[in-house]
Amino acid sequence: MYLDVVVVMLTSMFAGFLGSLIGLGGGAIVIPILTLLGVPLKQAIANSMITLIATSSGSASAYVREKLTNVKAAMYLEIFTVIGAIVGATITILVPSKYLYFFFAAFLSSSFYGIRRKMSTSTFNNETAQDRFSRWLELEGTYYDESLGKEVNYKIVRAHLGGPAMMIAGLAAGMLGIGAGAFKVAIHELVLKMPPKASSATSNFIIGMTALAGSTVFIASGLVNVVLAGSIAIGATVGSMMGSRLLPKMSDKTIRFLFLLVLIYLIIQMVYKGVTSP
Amino acid sequence: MKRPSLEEVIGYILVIGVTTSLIMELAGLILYVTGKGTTEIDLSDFEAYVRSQDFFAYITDVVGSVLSNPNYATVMALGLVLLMLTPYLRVVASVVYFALSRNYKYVVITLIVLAMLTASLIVH
Repeated sequence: MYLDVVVVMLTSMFAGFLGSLIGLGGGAIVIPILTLLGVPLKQAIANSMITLIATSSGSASAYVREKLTNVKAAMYLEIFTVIGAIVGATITILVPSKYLYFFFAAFLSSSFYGIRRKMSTSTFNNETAQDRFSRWLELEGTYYDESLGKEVNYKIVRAHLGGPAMMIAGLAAGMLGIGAGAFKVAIHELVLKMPPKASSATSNFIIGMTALAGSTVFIASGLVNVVLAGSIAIGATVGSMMGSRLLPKMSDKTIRFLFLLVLIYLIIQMVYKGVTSP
Repeated sequence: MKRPSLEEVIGYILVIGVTTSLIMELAGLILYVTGKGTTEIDLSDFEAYVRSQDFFAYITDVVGSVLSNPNYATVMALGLVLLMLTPYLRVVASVVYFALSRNYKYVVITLIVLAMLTASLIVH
């Protein structure tokens, strides 16, 4: 199939745009579309993963200066995601593509958590007592919440469970070349009891590091094509910037509908590719 | 002079790293399209692939080849190298910051991350 710089750039822009609208990464969207354009799956994974560093770092720099990101929690959790991503990327190099399509389809389903989360408007409360290990790691945070108009203080709990859980997130991210943002946010909120804004910001921050860890493996195995990676990087970054500008203007209902449609289509497509690939 | 916060330092590293990298990617793409006279991506073009076994040796190679022969492949490879160095430098800065604040617990934690990344960049 004919692969073109402009087509890849526009596709990535669309993926980045949609990804930032729903608050998840664009990797999960861009990879299936690249395979549709004729890029072999492993190459789509490798080239998309390296560009995640660019797309995640743009918003990460803003969140980190607003102190929404919990840097200490991120550093501790990165020990686990980095191991996971390196192992995951190595598995991808070794495993036949056929299985990767199915893994991809299965993992896309975890994005439904992101939608459910957007729908619930539950207020955050943090009344649990902090355990010794989490306290020893100094895992707590404070940020100013604009929509609430007040400071939010929180203490992270169960760091001993959150770490290993993040290794699974890193493994999936490294295998599939995606950020696994929805999965990371779920761990931050459900296990570590972080408030939603801090969860998203910290997850976004960690994605850049997971992407680097996976890329160290892919770059050594000669899967990274500079023209392909460059086109994705530019398109996805512009797209996610546009998405975050437009986000406040769009209704949640429209976004959810759009995302559900794309997600279901991508899952079907990846399953189909898996079934039909040799 | 007041020491900037870790958040500020990290914020600047991310913005500067990614911006420089994307500018190089764009410059490389322009060189590619004008040089080849087509916008088609040829996945069988050997020249377009990053070949790095030892990443740090590769950095020296890429910088050398951009200076001696600045074509699309070398310029874009340098852009990708800068992109990968951005989160790497973010960890290095964190190690230094925690060392300066005498938070040795976090010096160890950040050093573990740094060691794993470095090993994965060198050993294959």
